Amino acid sequence: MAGVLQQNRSLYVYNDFLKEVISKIKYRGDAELVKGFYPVMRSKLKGISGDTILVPIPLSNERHYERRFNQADIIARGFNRDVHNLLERNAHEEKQSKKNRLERMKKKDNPFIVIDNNSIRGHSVLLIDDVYTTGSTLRYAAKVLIEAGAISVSSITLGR
Amino acid sequence: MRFVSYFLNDRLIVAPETLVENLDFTPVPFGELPQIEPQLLNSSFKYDEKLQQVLYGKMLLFDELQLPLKTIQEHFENGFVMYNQGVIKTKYGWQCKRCGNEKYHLFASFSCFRCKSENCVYCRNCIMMVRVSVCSPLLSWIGPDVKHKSDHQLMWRGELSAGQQIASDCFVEQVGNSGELLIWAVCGAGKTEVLFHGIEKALKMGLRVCIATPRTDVVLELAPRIKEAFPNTLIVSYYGGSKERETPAQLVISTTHQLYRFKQAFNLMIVDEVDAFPYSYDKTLQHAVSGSVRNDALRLYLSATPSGKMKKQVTQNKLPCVKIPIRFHGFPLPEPKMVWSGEWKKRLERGKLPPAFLKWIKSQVVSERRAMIFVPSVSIIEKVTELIRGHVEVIVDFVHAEDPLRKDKVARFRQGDIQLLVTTTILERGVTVPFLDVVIFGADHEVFSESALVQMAGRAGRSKDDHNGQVLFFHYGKSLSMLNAIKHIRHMNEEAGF
Repeated sequence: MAGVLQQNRSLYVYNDFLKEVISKIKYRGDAELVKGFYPVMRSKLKGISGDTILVPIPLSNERHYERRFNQADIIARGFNRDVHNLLERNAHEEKQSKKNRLERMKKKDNPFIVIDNNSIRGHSVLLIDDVYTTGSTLRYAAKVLIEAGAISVSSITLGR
Repeated sequence: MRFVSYFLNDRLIVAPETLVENLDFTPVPFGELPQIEPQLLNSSFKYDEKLQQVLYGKMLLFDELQLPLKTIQEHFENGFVMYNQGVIKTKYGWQCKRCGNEKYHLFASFSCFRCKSENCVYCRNCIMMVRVSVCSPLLSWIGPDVKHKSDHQLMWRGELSAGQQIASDCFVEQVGNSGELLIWAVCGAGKTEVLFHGIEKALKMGLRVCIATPRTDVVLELAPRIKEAFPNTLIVSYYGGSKERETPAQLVISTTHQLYRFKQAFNLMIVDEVDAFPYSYDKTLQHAVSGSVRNDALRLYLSATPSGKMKKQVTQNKLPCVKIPIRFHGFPLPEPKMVWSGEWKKRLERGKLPPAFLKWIKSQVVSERRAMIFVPSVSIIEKVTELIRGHVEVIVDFVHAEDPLRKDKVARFRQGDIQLLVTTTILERGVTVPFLDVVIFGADHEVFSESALVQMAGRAGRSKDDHNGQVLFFHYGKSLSMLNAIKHIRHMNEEAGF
C-alpha cells in the first residue's frame, strides 16, 4: 500500500492543546470551533491547483448519526472550494482512536468505497481529515481513489 | 432529527421519521413542526417505570436516555412523555430552552446529518452537557408522579448551638410553604447542621429536596455528611463527571450547572454559598435554579457573605432573613489585622519578599502552626513559594485551580505534612483545618472583594480548641474591600454580643 499517498501536510503538531480543541469539536459537538482554523487553512491551499478535488474522510453512517456532523467535512469547507463527498465507509467498525498502533496497521479490509468513479477519474485528489496518526486511514482512502482512476492523491490534516 | 406530523382522530401526532413507514408524509426538522400538544393520557397504557424515574422532573435529550426511540414514542402517543423545543427562535435571535441562554454569540450552526439542515442552530452555553439544537427535542415526563417512600429518619444526634437552633426552627417552620428565606451565617457557624431538621420534615412530607451549590468541592464535602445523617434516604449527587445520574432520588445534591437538566422538580431548593462565583455572576445558572423548582417551592439561601443586592432586599423586608452571627463554638470571629508591607509587587519583581512578611514567616515557623497564604494571582504563586522556601526549612507548597495535584495537596495540608500552603482564592470556602492562621499577601489587590476577604478570614479559628487564629492582611495601601471586610466581621461580632 506504500506510495499511494503522495504527500501529507499537517497544520499543527497534535499536542495537548490541539487534542483538547479537537475533542471539543468531535465529542462535545462544538462545530463552531473549526472556524478558528479557517484563515490558516486558506493560506495553505494557495499552492494547490484549482483542478484538485477536495474529498473529506467520511464517517460511518452510525457514527455520523451519533455525532450529527462529519468533522472532516466541516474542516474541508474551510478551504472555500467545493467539497466532494465521494467516499463512503463500508460498515461500522471500531473507532480508530480506540485502537493502538499495531491494531491500526494490521487491519486488512479497506473500509472505504468510492461512490462515483467518473468524478474521480483523471483528477488529482486532496484528502482532508482532522488528525494524522499512523496515516493508515488516509492510505486506505488513497488506495481506493487511485484504483478508481485518480492521477494522484495527497492529504491535509489539522494535526499530526 | 426529522419528524413527520399527521392527524389521527382530529389530534395532531408527531413521530420521528425513522418510525413511520408511510412515504406520503414529508419529514421536517423537529423545530419546524407545528405546535405540539400533549396527547391524552391513556391510563391503561403500561408505562416503563425506569423511564418514569429517570425522566421525572427533568428535561432530557433522546441521546441521554438509553431506550429505543420506539419506546419513547409510545410514551408520547399515550400521553406520558412530552416533546419540547430545545432551541427556539425569538424576536431577536435564539433561546436555549434548557439553560435559558439568549446571547447571540453563544449560538452557532452546523450542517446536521440528522435533520439534513445546512444550518442547524445549537447552544454553546450548555454544550458541556450534550449538545442541544433546534432539531433535538427535550423530553419531559407528563405521566403520574414518582411516589417516594416516607420512612426517612434523621440519624444525626448532635446538638445545635443557640444561634443554629433559632435558624433551624425558622427553616423548619417554613418547610411546606412557598417563598424565600436567607440564612446569613458567619463562617464556621455550622450551616450544614442547621439544615438537618428542615430537610427531615420535607422528606417526611414527601417533598423533593435539592441542595445546590456553585462549587463541585462543596458537593463533594456535603454529600457524605448528608448521607450519614439520612442513611435510609436515597440521595444522589450530581456534578460534572458524577456517575449516579440514573437513580431517582428524593434528595439531590448538585452543582448549579447540573440543574440545567431539571425542570419543575423540587419543592425545596437550598442554595448553599449563594454568593459564590460563578452562580452570582452567570444568569443562566440562576435560570437553571429557577427552572428546576416548582412554582410553589420554598427556596432557602445560605451564605456568610450575601451580595449587596441580597442585603438590600433584606433591609427592605423583601427577603426574610435569619442571622447566625456567632460561631457554633461560641467564640468571636478573629478580626483581621492590617500590616503595611510596602510595594510588594516591585519587591517581588526584584526577587524579594517584604520585610514585614518575612518577619511573620519566620515567627510562624517557630510557632509550628499551619498557615494558608492567599495570593492575588496564579502568576506569582510559584515565585512567592520559591522565595519563602529560600528562608525557611519547613515544607512549603502551593495550590491553584488547575493544579492536577490539588486534592492531594489539600489533603496533605490537612494532615499537617505541609505547614505553609500558598493558594489562590480557590480555598476561600468550604475548607476546615484546625490550628490554622490566615495571611493575605497583597490584600489591597482588586481581586480581593469584601466577601472574598471575609471568607478567607473565616478559615481561621474554626475549632473550639483553637478559636483564636491569626488573620493578617499584608498590603500596600488599605483598599475599600479590606476596610469593609473588617467592618463586616466587627459588626457580626457585635451582633453576637461581643
